[in-house]
Amino acid sequence: MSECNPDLFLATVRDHSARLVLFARQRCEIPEDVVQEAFVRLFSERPAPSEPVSWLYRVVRNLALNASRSRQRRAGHETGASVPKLWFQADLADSIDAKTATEALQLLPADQRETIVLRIWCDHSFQQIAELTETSPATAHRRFHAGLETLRTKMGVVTFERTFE
Amino acid sequence: MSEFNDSDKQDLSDPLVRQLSAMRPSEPDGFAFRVIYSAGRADAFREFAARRGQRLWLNAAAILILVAGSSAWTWEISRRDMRNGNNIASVGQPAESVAVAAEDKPAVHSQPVVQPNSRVAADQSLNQLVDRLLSRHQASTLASRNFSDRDSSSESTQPVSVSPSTWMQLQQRLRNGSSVF
Repeated sequence: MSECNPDLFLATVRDHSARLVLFARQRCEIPEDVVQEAFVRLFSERPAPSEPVSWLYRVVRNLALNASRSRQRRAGHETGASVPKLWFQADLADSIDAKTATEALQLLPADQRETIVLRIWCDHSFQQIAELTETSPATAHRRFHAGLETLRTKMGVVTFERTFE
Repeated sequence: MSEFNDSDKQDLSDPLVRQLSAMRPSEPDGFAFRVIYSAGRADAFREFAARRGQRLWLNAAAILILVAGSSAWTWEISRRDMRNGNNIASVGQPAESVAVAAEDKPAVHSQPVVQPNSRVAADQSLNQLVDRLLSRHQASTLASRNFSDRDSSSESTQPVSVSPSTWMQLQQRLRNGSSVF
């Protein structure tokens, strides 16, 4: 029986937790809970997944969608909003500040936001995004560019440096 | 796929993409991640339980059990505590000194469930504990959605107690680099 190697597990947590939380945040309001749950499942999974990172992204997405649906069902019974939080580390060296980027991303439709996060911060190819989000690479590509153009407008980024059209 | 492979390279040369990709996602502040890094500390565990919801705590506990394997810890969680989510009793205290909140019904301390040096028994015990924590997690989620759920006599109301020897074996195995299961 294939088992989850503790050292590999810890390395996976260390290397991917921040990106997975950012990814989960695009679909639910309890991203850290969702990612933790996914890690628990990963460690318990028998046999261990052959591609644990891809497996994690798939499980995190499903859990996040479920959490979002559950929250919508309970919305009439709950009060209080989630605590606003920056999605990125504040860094004075960044040319775009974390608050601006977070606010601009929040304006995008979830599909576009999810695609942009996977492409830019999670190092996914369009093929991988398509498989994860159950769409075609062409649709993923289209979502990415549509979202990027909206971001460009919302953030007031000058586009003259663009090298392709 | 070559169309998108070529496009991938172009996408990454976009100045806005370059600027965005230079930003680092915020590190999660979920307790479990800190537990994993620090191998677990009782005071940090209590601090967390005092300020965060029980769902995250239970996940943290499960990960702690799975990964950190701190010895001689026990978790005593009453159904009401979980429902309230703000008063988890006896968190992270050594098994020998667990104090039960006065208004709680007495905790049922199990006898040591494994014999020292019994790996198979430890596996079973740990599996059972994780199963109970996770099922309790699910039960608490249900309870939070349906406050008419008052079945305080169900199995999930029983406190979780694990013998120190189980934890010690787990810790030893993790130090040796072997899997907990």
